[in-house]
Amino acid sequence: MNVRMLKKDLRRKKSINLILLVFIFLSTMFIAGSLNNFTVIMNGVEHFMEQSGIGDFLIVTKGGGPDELSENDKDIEEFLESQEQVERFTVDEELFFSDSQLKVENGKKATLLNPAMISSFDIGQQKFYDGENREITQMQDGAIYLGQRIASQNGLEPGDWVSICSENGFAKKFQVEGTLKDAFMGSEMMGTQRCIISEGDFQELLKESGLPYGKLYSITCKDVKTFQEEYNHCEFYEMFSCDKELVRTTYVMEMVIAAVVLLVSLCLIAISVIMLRFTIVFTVNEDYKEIGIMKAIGIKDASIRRLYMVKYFVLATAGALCGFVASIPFSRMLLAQVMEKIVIENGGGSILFHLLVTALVVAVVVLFGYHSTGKIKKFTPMDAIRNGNNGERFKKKGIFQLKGAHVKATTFLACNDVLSEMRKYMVLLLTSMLGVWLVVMPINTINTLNSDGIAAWFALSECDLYLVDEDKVMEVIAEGTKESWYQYLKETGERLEDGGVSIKESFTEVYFKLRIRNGEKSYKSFAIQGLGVSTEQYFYDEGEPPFYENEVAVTHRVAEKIGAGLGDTVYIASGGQENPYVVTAIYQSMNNMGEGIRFTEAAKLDYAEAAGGFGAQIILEQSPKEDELLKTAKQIKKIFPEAKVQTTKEFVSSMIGDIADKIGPLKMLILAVVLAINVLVAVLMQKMFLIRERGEVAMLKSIGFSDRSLIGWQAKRVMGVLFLGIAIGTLTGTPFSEITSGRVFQLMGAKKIEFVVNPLEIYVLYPAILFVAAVLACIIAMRSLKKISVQEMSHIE
Amino acid sequence: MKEALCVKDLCKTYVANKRQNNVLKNVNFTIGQGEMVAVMGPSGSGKSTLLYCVSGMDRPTAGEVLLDGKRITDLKEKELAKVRLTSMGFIFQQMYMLKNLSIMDNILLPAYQAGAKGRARQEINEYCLGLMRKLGIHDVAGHDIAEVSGGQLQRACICRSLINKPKILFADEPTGALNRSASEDVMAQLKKLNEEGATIMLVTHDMKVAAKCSRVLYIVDGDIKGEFYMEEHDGEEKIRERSLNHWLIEMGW
Repeated sequence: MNVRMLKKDLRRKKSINLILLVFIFLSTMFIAGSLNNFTVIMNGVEHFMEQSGIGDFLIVTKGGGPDELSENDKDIEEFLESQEQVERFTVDEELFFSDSQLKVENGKKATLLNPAMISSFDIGQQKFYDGENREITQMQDGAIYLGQRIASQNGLEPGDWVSICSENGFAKKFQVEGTLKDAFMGSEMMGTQRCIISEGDFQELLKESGLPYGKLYSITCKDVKTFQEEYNHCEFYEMFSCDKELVRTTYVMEMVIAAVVLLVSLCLIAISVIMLRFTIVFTVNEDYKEIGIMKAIGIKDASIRRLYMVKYFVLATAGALCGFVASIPFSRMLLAQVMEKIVIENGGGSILFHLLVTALVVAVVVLFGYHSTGKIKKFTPMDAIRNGNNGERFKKKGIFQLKGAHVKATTFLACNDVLSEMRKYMVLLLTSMLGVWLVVMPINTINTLNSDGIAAWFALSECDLYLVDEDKVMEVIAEGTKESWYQYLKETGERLEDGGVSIKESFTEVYFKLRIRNGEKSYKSFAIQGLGVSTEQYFYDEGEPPFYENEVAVTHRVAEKIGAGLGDTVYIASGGQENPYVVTAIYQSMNNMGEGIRFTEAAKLDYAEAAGGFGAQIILEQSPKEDELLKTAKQIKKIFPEAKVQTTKEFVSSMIGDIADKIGPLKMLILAVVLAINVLVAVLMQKMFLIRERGEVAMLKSIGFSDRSLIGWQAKRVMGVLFLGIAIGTLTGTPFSEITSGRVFQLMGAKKIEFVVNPLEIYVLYPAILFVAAVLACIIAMRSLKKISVQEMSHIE
Repeated sequence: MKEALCVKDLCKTYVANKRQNNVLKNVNFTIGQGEMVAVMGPSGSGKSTLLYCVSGMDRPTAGEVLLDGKRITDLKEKELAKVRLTSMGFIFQQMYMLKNLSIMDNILLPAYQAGAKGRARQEINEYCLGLMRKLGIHDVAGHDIAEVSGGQLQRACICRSLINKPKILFADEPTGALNRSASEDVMAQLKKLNEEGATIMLVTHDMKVAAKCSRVLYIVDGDIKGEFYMEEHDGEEKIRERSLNHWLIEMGW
């Protein structure tokens, strides 16, 4: 009997059951997919680093050779052996190469932002993984795995050929096997990228190539902080050193994408729970008439309830199973960008996890159903007779009065409905609001990263163009004097003048890794000395720009690390001796994860310790417009064919791994997902309203309302709610971005974030797209009211 | 007497499970202006279907309906809606009203939808209050529909049906959901309206209700089997009811 009743119910109330089924399906898909993303992202980087076996502290040195250990390396190894905090350490050999030493198939020079590293695949420091998340355990001679950025910047695909060449005439061809997932050097923020080859090939390179040699120390510590404090007191020459925590932080750009996915997931979960509850309460209320009749003919409450529970169980199981199947590709789609760089547990999708969430959704639906059918006890046969009204409701429902209104009757009805029954429209309001948040947040982030003001965030002085010649910079560094940098600037200026480009001035910024100490607290920080540029050209949050040679500005992060403030005297080690400097200013920088010390041009630093430079920064004679600037850039490229010529925006973008370009497609994906969800929710809600209001529609038809005016009434109502939701979402979207994406920028070292908002996009274009799409879809759904006949008036509540 | 409604060869056929069911079979009748006609018949005889087809709420399969000399059976849905809004009034057995509106707003709704604006709205509001006063419900004008009795609600439905000054009023069992006293009250109001010139066609099972009309049509199996003119049996209410009863028994009631 129950089965027959169930079958009949499912067939007879096709529309409402189908809507419930669709909502359960969507909820399962969103919740399973999103919760999976949540756990994967929260543990992703940590898991990748653990799986790769990365050490607690890493040091990269340059110098010496395969047969002779440099003095510096000897000192480091002695230090490590003597340290109590060191549990164990590994030492691996590396070679360095610049873009002139890497040739792509047609003999063209490859593009590299910084010198890259090459090593054997079999090193003690860590494990490597291929694009399919497989550990690389063996490699054929002649094969090479490239760092992700090297491959993408040079458009290299598996099967392509590359050559490693050196000045001594050595050249060796390698076939690209694929890209590399490298926990230590794989993030966008890590300047140096790495390639791996077979052990045999690496030994050949070591012996014959003459490429710069270096070592990579990976240290496992008992207490990394104590070890780091000890290490910071030593004066080793190093390319760079960092702890595991900093390596993790360099994945911040991947985390921007992950955060966007995470927020999308959280909003989807919120939408799912809201609409699930609404749909179940709605469907139970739809059934009150039948419940009343069953009670009238003497069926017990428990039997009635069992009947409904079976129905919800069947619907929940069917919907959730479909949702489970769809949640796996949905989850992968959202995680695709995050999975490019890191190895994610179980490839990003645990079937068991998805199944658990599916079971949870079934349980939640059944529980919601159980809770909602609790009202069965309250329903009386009178509810069946009086369509749910027991005649004892004295709460005034209408807010406005038609007799005083100056609007069309349908407009009045629409406003009165929404304001009288706000709860009914809350789901639509919330989903449209969340939808706008989901769109506004990535767009604000992209616009901010693409804005002109981004240079200031990276503590860069404004200039028109960056001339980056990695080989030349390496050459100047190798000379080890300040004068060679001035000479480089002078020669660059002369070549430009000869080539017909008039420049107002050119300057450069040379960077070092120096130990800074305040009392007992010391820290090794990225430090910069601008040559040919005044410290006044930069932005500072507090204090005055350093002016004398014994004055410095430090970033908020460095100030916090050593506990220094304005006016404090700090000690900075350079050239084997510590010199006192007065902190005159504090600034923010997203460069090097917020680390920074800025010296005046007059400060005496040991240029043998220089770790790098930005190349020549050029200010043109006349401030050109964007198209003229690009023309000049092309002209300069002809004068310096070996160098890269970039605008400030391009330079910063390359520094942060072209993140804006990466979020771009994600933005479109999110827009498509949000549009689809908003349209779907709006259409399903509209369908539900029509099912519930068919009595009212029939009555209004009977007294002479045309189909067109009835569609007008429903459309105005939906438009009002969507407009309100989208307007609230638009107004609160930017503060929401600041709380969410802003946190990521803070992780990168920024202190105060002001998001760049494109008003046309944020306040007009995207809200309008969401609004128009949802309204159009609803109007199409509303057309089914034409099929409602006057005889259906009996459904009126 | 000028014709308010003329029905010619009206047919309505439903097909359910491939089975054809002829609910109305060549129905013909006319209603003069100012007449009050009741349609009676056993359950399933086609009374309500006739009312819905005649009033343009349902499409007949064949035949024609002329309202005030104008053929309405060929009108498009939009034009029919306009006719229902401006030229017809409806009263149903259940008091169907919008729950989010007050009694007065429910009554005013068709007038505002018909396009009353500015000063006309002021006049409509006055007219509405006048109607409510006439039907004795002006004191519940601002009430919610759940706050008034069934009789009051049905009288409000009558007011709503009259708000656009229709040419004809259709009523489907107008007293079917009311108790005896409310029922008498409502019928008295309808009778009074008829005496003031309103044309009314109503469907009823109740002989007492039918006895208040000027003519009764008796329908069986979708066909009008007979007509009973009350003027020919004028007299006290009880005498009218008795003569109608005799006629109905003769018709097989």
